[in-house]
Amino acid sequence: MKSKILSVITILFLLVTFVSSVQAEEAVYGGTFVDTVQTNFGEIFNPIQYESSYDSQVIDLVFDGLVIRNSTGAIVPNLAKSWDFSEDGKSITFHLKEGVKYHDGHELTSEDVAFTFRTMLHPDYTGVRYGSYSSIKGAAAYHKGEADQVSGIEILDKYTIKFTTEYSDATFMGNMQRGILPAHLLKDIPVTELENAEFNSNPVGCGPFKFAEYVSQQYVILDAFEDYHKGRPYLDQYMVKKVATDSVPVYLKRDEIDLVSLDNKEQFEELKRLDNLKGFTRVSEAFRYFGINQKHPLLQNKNIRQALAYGFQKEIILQILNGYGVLANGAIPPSSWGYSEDVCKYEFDPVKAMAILKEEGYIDRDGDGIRENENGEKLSFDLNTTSQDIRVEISELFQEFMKQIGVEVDVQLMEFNALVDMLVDSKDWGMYIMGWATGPEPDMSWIFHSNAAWNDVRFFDDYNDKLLDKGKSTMEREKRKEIYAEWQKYISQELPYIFLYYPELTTVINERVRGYNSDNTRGLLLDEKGSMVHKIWIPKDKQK
Amino acid sequence: MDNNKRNNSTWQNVWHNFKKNKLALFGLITIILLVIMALLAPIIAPYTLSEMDFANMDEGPSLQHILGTDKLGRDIFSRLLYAARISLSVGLIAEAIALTIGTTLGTTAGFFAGKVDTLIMRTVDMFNSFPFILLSITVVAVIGPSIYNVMIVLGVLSWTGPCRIIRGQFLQIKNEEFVEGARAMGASNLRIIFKHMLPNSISPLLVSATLGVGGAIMTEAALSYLGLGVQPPTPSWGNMLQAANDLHALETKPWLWLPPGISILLSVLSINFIGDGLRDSLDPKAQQNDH
Repeated sequence: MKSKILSVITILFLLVTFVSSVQAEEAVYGGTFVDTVQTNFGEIFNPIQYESSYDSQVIDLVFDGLVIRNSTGAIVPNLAKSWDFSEDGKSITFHLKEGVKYHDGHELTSEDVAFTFRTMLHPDYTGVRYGSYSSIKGAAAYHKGEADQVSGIEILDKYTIKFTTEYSDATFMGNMQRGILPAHLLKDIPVTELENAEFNSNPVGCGPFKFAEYVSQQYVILDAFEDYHKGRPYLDQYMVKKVATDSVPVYLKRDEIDLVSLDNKEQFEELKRLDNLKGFTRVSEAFRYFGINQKHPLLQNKNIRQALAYGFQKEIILQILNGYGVLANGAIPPSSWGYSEDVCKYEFDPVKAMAILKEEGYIDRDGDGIRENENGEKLSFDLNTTSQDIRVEISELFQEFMKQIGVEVDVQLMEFNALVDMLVDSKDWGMYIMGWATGPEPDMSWIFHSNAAWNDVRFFDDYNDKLLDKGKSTMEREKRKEIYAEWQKYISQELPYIFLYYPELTTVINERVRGYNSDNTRGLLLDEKGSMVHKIWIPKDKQK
Repeated sequence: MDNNKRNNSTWQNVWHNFKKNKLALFGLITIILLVIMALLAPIIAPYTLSEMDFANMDEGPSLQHILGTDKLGRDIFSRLLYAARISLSVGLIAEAIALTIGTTLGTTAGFFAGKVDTLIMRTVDMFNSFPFILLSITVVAVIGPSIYNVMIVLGVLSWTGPCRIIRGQFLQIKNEEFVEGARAMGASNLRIIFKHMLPNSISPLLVSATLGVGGAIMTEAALSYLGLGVQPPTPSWGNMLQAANDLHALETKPWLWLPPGISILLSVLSINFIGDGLRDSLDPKAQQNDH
């Protein structure tokens, strides 16, 4: 009996010491956290003007939106403390938190919110986000210059704002994550000039960190914002540094970076040997693809596009990735509720590919290994890529497979921003390889709709538009699911893109960092309340 | 007739001296071997340059692939042979372009002297005042990377060396008796340049050209390593070396980067040995020391 009591006491004692030793690590302020990007910045740090997802990494720290997606992908409050829907679901009234400050001390009000969304609907707006908000009532009239105000945006009082949409828009709340601009700094700048405003390289928002310094294509330094509405971040500084993918292991070994996303398994295997790191792997909400110019003289032919898809054994890519990805046959990520398996998968079948090409009149007539039509036009086009290793390798792989079926592919390497410019400015290119980060929402109107600003492949198709509109304006999830299943099937037949894979990303974080969410379904710096970047910290003895 | 005979014996003399230089001979043999391997690449190479073996991707040396395979399963040995063609021909053609421009301008400057000379030599100074590698990177980035552009850029940017040499030689021999003799006999300027002056300036030019080929191979490798040279899937030693860019590969997969590295080293070293050997055997003073 006595020994039993003793053992219970011992266990209790052990438990208490264990718990207290866990608690002993209390969050402390200070230190610099070093985050990374591996491609050049687009250098537009403005939530309504930027076009590169590498800029958004900085923008998300400087700006906060009304709402935010949390670790499970659900919409939760951020600058808006709550909201109510009208009975018909077409009006949403947001109640803003009071006393939220911009980095310059100015208070955020509903005026700023109205300004931000109205600007994207303005006739002179040069950015790409009009489409995301065109469902707001009166947006079209305002955009055409027929009205001076957007009737669907009403300021009720200093902290209350009401949005009304033309039809119930299932994607509306997701789009309300947009960072809120400071009206007091920008309202006097003509909307046409916003694109080149000085503000974009020295932004002021109400996010957890304020913009301190940017050295062109090297790093951004952000300072902790004392008056952040969710409380001052523990970190003193947050740095976003540009690193070459190849140098990542060196930086990590030298403890010079804290957070990096890798899609290179070899590097990860290498890094596992280091004891100053922790790695977390997940299939990302993103996909990699070949974009096909729908107006290209050869590739506008759907049958030829399908032949190319049949002729390419894309499973090999997974081998190059060492299994670090999931084969994609559509745009919606497998983790999304909208994902459908019922699509054309184009199982590798070179015989079929060659039969289609022959049927289309492309036969190798002069014996040089490349097919040509009766007029002697060769079945040849260019494939443009950035010089990122994995993309170059995939391009060469495709080139080789195409050679086997008598198609000539000319691989062109260029810098990321140059490639983006080319896609927009030129009409002559054939294909390119790139990726989209999509998020959990299955609506892809912003890429695939005829009026989408990012429809670089110029895919204009009525049935596609109809499905996308229907998906967006339907509220019940089960019905939306059916619509998106149909849409995914349709896209896989039309092939504006050849989908390649969903990358499996490994986020590597330095062991000195504390307070992040290792239970990561969507990312290490997200919890049930959304972004938790203000909660991560570094122990005193490990701060530099 | 007489002339020919004398020339012959001069070259025989040079060869005689060259042979004695062991390093130069080694260089010559290595280069000849490399050139033969490059020319016969389609016959020697066990695979084509872009053939992918998906069962053996990223594997070390084996019986099937004597130097291993790269990430896409392509045979390193075969690619090395094809790359030799590219790298060697870039070196030769770039130097040929440089020689053509350099000799033309150098001859003009040296022969006519005066204002023409000043103009040409100031242009040379201008070209020389830019850091060579940075200038070539910039120019290639602007006109677009391709094997032909690399040849042209390297050629157009490295003509200043031969130009200076030729000009110096011409200034030196311009007033020698054999030139004045030819002039007195009523020979035209062109005849004097081509028949009398150029043949007498050839030896330093030959040495500089040889060394230039080595330099061009190195620069091509540097540009290709940076992704600005030869474009995929065409291999060159430089873009094969890119594999060493990855720390993991650098530490654990030497078969990816050792062969192209050694090839560059061997070829440039051999060419430089040949250049040195030529200089020694063409130099009359060195000859006398030999005897």
